[in-house]
Amino acid sequence: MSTATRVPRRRSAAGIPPLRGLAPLVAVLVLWQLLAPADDPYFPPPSRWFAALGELDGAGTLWSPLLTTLVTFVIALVIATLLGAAIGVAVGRAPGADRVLGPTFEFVRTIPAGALVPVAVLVIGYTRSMTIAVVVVTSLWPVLLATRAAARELDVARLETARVLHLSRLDTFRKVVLPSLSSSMVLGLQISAPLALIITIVVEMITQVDGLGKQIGLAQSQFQAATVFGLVAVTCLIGLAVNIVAAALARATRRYAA
Amino acid sequence: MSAGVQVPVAPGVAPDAPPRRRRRRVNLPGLALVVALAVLWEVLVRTVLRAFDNLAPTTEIIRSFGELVARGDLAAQIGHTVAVTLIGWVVSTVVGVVLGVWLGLSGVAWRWSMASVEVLRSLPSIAFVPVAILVFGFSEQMELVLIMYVCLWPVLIATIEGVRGVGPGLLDSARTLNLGRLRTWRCVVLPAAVPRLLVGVRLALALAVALAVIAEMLGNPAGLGFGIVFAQRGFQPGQVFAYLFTIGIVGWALNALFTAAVRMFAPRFAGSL
Amino acid sequence: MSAAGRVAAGSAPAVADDAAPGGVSVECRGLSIDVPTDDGPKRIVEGLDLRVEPGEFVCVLGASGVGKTTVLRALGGLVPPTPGSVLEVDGRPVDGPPDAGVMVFQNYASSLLPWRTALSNVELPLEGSVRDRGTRRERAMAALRLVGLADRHAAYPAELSGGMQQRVQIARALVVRPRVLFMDEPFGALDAMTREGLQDELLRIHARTAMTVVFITHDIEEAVYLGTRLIVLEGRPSAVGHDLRSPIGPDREQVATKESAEYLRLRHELYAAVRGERSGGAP
Repeated sequence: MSTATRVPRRRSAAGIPPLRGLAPLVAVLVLWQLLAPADDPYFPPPSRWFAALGELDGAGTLWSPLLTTLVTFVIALVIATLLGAAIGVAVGRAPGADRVLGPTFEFVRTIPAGALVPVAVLVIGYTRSMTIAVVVVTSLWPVLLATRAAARELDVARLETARVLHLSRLDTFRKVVLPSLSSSMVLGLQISAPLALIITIVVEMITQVDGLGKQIGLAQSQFQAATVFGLVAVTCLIGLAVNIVAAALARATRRYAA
Repeated sequence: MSAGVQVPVAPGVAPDAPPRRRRRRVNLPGLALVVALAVLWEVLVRTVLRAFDNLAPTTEIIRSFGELVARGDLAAQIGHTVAVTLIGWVVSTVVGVVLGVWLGLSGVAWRWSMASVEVLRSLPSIAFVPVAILVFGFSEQMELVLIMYVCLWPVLIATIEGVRGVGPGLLDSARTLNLGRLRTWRCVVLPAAVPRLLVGVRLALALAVALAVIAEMLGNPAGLGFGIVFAQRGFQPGQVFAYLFTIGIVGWALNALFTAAVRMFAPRFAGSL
Repeated sequence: MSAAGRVAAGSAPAVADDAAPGGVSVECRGLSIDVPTDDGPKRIVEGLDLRVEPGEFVCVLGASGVGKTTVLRALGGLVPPTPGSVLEVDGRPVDGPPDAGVMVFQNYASSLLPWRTALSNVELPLEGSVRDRGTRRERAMAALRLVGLADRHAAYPAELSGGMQQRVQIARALVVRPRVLFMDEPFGALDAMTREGLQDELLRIHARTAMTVVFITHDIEEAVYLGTRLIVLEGRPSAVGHDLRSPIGPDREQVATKESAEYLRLRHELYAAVRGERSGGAP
């Protein structure tokens, strides 16, 4: 901070941390690869993971479960989003709904997802519908809360503008309400999407219903460490992809924000 | 995983603050709904939903709850789950805060590790359950390690954000008053980071409960998670529902205790909770 | 010592027992400041020469965006000027915030620590240097008394009005007995009545302590009312456009002074200057 100082450096764009920060992660992976013996029962080196995944592929049990999980996840997420938005709007625009529904919502919202699984199994059985049901009940909350907040704050001025311009109810909904709601839905989606993925896999793990979760559970019970790590890596990649898509959606709808 | 996540805030929209019941009036309408639902459930299960023989009406749920309490299992299971949750959570909080403060204050450390943190924190936490079981088998250790690892991230991230997000006005003030580096950290930066930090710690608590239950359902035959799975496999719907509500209440109670503790010991920072 | 800091003959004694030991000079020669933008560094200020004598109350005016705040922050040691600029407070080069000076910011809410009481906020700068708790508290209370907030010392910032919060910030600045006060539009966010009250308080404090004040404002009326010297920054990049000494005496009052001939003449001059700058320099 002397008089002979350089021009202050500009902050990196949007606070994205510098790439050199990946160094520790890369270092750990490299060290792991180099130091772990190939047949280590607990921490096989990353190269073994690929081999294990290849074996699964050969046996036909890699892509099919993966697809099953993805389909379940997507269906459940769509239902959860629509349901959450519908309830959120309804609750948001109904005065006094908060006070009545408050305690019930709070309680159901905070039930750990795992606890719902035995109940769902008991009622629905070991099926994909059961998985979807559990995922929907646990993942609709972020979207519900976001749309509820947006519905409450829905710019009175915008709605009155619509009235003044004699927009039909359908038009009002389409052109005024929907865009602002879509933005809050996407915001909730950023939280609910990764959550839904996790819960889908949790349910599959607990119930051994077909899917990635079941495969991981199977590998773990057979002490196939390399397979476990390989599938975990696949799960992480899917998770990253979901985050990226959700973030991209968020950016795209930002102009519609209330 | 718990669905008790942070409320997302739409840009330009005021944060959705929970109805502040500072007025000590009991929420009668809310309570009324709960009672009404309980009654409705009783009626439905005994009439319309009779075809489903795996549903338990309210009265049976209450009876099963009584049974479990009388048997003595429930208390022990609650104790186990709560103990594991708290230990894992406390450890991850301490580590997360210390690490977070370091990464937040040290520009060098931040630049050389933040990208890794971002990657690791976005990995689905559930993916590490089988790894934990593989390495630690069916044990308390497994539960603890799992909770400590997964709960570390929300605390770490929140602490880093809190430390780095200190308002420029406060930093300018510290500079013009010549407080010096250490005093700026101690008196300005760290206290300013606490509200954000607490949000992460609270999230971690909810996560810890959820993970404990899942770990118990998958790996460690003890605690509430084991209890509910055992009841389900034994086709005891009354007990399953009783366990469900117990787990829900335990989670709620821990959260309420935490919020109350913060309000009591650090009232100036409780605004964010 | 404080001889050069004397305001004018006939004014109240310049130094009170619990006030600062007079003001110091603030000087810059060839001050240039670059500010980082998306298209690279932009020169906001070029070759600014200014010397503020000890005890002067200098008001810096100028159009929005001309760089008043930037210049003040450079003088206050918060922003580094480009190499080659000379910046001195009390004859010593400025390398970071000077010990003799404190800045008061416009956004009082962002400057006070919300988790500390008013008294505790004012004690903050003393905690490193004054070991004894009792002394610290006494000095902080004295500073609060100077701004008229001694009775609210146990209140938290959120419980205080905007004007009171700003007064707490001023007290916090005064408690270290600064010899120069840098003020960045401190009353800009306040309503007219509060502003007038604080202006008078500031004049009182200035008379008692005889410290140097560099005061930024975009409000011409405020500048004429407060200042003993008025500077107008002009140009892109900016430099000193006008430098006027105020003919108004030290005893100022919100109604009487603003009707006086000297006030009106100075005000007229300034408006012409600022307007001239706005229309590109044509008189």
